[in-house]
Amino acid sequence: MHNSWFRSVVALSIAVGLSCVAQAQTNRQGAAESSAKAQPFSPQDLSGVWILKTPYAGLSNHPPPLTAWGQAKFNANKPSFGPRAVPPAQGNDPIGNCDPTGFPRNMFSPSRPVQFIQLPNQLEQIFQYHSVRRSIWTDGRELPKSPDNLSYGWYGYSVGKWDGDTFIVNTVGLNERTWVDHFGYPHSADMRVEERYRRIDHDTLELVLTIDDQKTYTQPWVSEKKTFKLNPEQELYEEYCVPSEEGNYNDFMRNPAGGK
Amino acid sequence: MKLKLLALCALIIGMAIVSAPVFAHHGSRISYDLTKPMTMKGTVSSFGWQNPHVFLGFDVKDDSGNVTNWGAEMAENPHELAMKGWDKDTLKPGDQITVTVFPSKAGAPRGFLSKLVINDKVMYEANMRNVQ
Repeated sequence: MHNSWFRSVVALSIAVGLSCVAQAQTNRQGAAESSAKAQPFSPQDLSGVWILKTPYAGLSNHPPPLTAWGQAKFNANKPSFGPRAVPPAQGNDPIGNCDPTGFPRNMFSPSRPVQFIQLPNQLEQIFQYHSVRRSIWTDGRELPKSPDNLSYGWYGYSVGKWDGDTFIVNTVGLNERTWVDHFGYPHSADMRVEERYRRIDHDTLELVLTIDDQKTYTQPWVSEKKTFKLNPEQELYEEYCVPSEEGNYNDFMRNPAGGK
Repeated sequence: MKLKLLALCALIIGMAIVSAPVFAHHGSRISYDLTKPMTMKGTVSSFGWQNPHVFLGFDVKDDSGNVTNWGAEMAENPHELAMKGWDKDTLKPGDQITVTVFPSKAGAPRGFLSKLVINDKVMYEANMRNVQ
């Protein structure tokens, strides 16, 4: 009751404030946006440092029904975010011990930058957290046909191609140790992920991501549209999760704070 | 007129943002009671300048002279604190501090650092917007 009232007040305040600003700044802001949109760009050049602006830390709020196998995995995962949140000390989020975030969960970190470096035969994505580098091969190769050729890593094996101005990436070879998002949604090693990127203006990159994992979900899970903004001023910095240091933190802070 | 309107807008948005629930940093929202800040005087016992979580330990003496070792974690990692002028030696064992924390819901002497004062100088105030 209190929460809903509180949220309403906050939402109303933000709405009033934003419309207020919009009113006052219409001309100037409009001019700035027009200027950004008017800047020349190539829709087939994704190079640059991008920052996710979509706040939701998962694919979408509407996951498809889980299979029995998926449901069991989901029940076993104890996240510290969302409606099933428990204190990290009581949970089992893999990143709590500095395990790799993994793909596609690493795509859902608002405010953490990702740099795209476009080369003739590949597109490299550099993620600030853990300084992860992900290669997307654009030299025309196919995905490995046989599971025997996959190492089942944390970020998988990815190939990309252009369909008009849409950059389509397909990824396989992802191990089951990562979660799909902060909320503990699982996946199997059978998961295939498709990303569809579109640079709609100089400063804006859109992404729709689809998970196809019949072992875990009864139908494909299509994400909401994620929006990234170009930020040329942003420099990626070193941001590791250091297992030994995280261990100290867990012992001294996280576990006592969470009643463990 | 336009400036006044903008100032009013900034105030309204600022109030909303300051009051808004935070997106928990590593589950901070679920571990700590963000509605019950408590302020204490203490002596720094340790400073963990570590990735990705910075934290400090400090001893608090009660009226009977009993000492409890508290811990408080910060929202920022070392790089983000360095951008604010901090380094690994900003806090040293023995420093006298006044801290405001959001305490552990489990009742342990642990908290999420909200404010840190040394010699009447505010050294740190958490920007709850950055708490993820």
